[in-house]
Amino acid sequence: MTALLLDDVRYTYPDGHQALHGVSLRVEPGERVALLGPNGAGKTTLVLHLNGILPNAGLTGSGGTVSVGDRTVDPRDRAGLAEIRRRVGLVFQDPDDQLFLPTVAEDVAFGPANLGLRGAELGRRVDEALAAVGMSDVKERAPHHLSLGQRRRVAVATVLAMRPDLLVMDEPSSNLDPQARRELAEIVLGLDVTLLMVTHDLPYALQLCPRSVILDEGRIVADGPTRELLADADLLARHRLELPYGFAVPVA
Amino acid sequence: MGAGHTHPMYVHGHSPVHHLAPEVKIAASVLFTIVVVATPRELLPAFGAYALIVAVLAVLARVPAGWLARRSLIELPFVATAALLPFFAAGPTTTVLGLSVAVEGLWAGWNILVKGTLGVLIALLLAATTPARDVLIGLDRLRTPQAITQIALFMLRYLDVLADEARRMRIARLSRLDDPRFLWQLTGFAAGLGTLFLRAFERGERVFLAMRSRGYTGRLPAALHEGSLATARQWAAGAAVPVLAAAILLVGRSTL
Repeated sequence: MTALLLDDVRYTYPDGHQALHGVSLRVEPGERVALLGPNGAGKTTLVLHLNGILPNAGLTGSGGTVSVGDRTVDPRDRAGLAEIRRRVGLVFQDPDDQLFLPTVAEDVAFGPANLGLRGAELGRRVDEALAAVGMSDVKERAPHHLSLGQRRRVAVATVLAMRPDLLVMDEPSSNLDPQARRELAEIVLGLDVTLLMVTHDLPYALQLCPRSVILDEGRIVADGPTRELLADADLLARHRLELPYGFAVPVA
Repeated sequence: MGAGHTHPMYVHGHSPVHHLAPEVKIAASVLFTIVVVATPRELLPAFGAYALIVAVLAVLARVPAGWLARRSLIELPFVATAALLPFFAAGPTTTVLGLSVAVEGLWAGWNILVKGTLGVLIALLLAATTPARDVLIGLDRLRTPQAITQIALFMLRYLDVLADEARRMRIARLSRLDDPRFLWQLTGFAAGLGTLFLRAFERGERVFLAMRSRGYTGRLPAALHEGSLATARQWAAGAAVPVLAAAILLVGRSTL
């Protein structure tokens, strides 16, 4: 079964700006796919469609379907949305948006508690998720006392605790120092989960995702092995993407 | 980062009072305060007994007397009012230290002073032995509307983040030669405040989206904080404080 299937997803913001012009994408279970695109390409808007945050029920100007596993996102079906949100774990770009409770442990417990878990089982989920990102020793700390790299790892744990089928990360490497960036990559590579990573950090995409799609002006303009896409300098230039100075795609 | 801790009132410790469930402490403090306020101001021995209860609690909680004294300075504006009353109230007068003061005003001042002080002290003991987050959990369990406890919870979490943003914006202003003297700073400060409000507003929206992504439907799941629910024994221990105070009040009234 397909892990994620987007069919002709279109979206227009209430102010009339059309952000998505018919996006179709298919991700198989276990795949790690990078979603590349310049600022303003519609990446974040697309991400919010993956678990039914957008479109709002009854909004005109949206169209197409999003399916996660055997379920199709329907904004009017509340119970269905809850299941979609369990299956799709979104890790937002700014961990301060994600971590809103006074301690790390509470925040990691928030998602699974919303799923109805409690007591010892809830505690096990929290421990398991924090262990997966190597953050078990900050369990009782307050999020604002952690470094950005630590906070981002905890943010990943908050969605891992819901045991998602699909992990979606929005700009996971932004503002991280090189070491934190590498540590996060190692953690992500160690996870047994389907991954969709939104980024314009091209070397990071190459390191983590065998396949990439390029989104520009609300359309998928390229889809293929990351190595091939990054080697196509013209393609990158057409869509405001650039490899960092001095970086060359390593020969396989 | 480094914007300090959001629990400046908490005195870390492991006393029996610290370990009491927050809802018990909140209920006990509120009831104790109500008994104190309900006590007739002429019942001097009762107030002495209340003060003794507070003192015993402070010793039990191992909260330093100096800390309590310093923190209770917050009461000063009320004390000032209380101190003025004897000079401005009408009615029969008496002479204290060679000054002619109104008897009624003296009683009114004393009333404010003693009840205010006892109320402040018990609230301080609550704050000293209960982290802010636990106070909110306690309020939630006492059926405080979630709209209030959730707003306070977010304040607790994001005050540091906002203060940090404000600090960064100020440094950025200074770096561009903003004159940091008080009045001259106001324009930049006011504009910054607007920006800060917008940022806070936008962050609120992003936080809400992130919460919805994890299945939030408007109520914080109770399972998050079920660990330290109050036991019957804790309730009994907590009830001892207001019950003792009420007993003192009743005995005092019957002798009046």
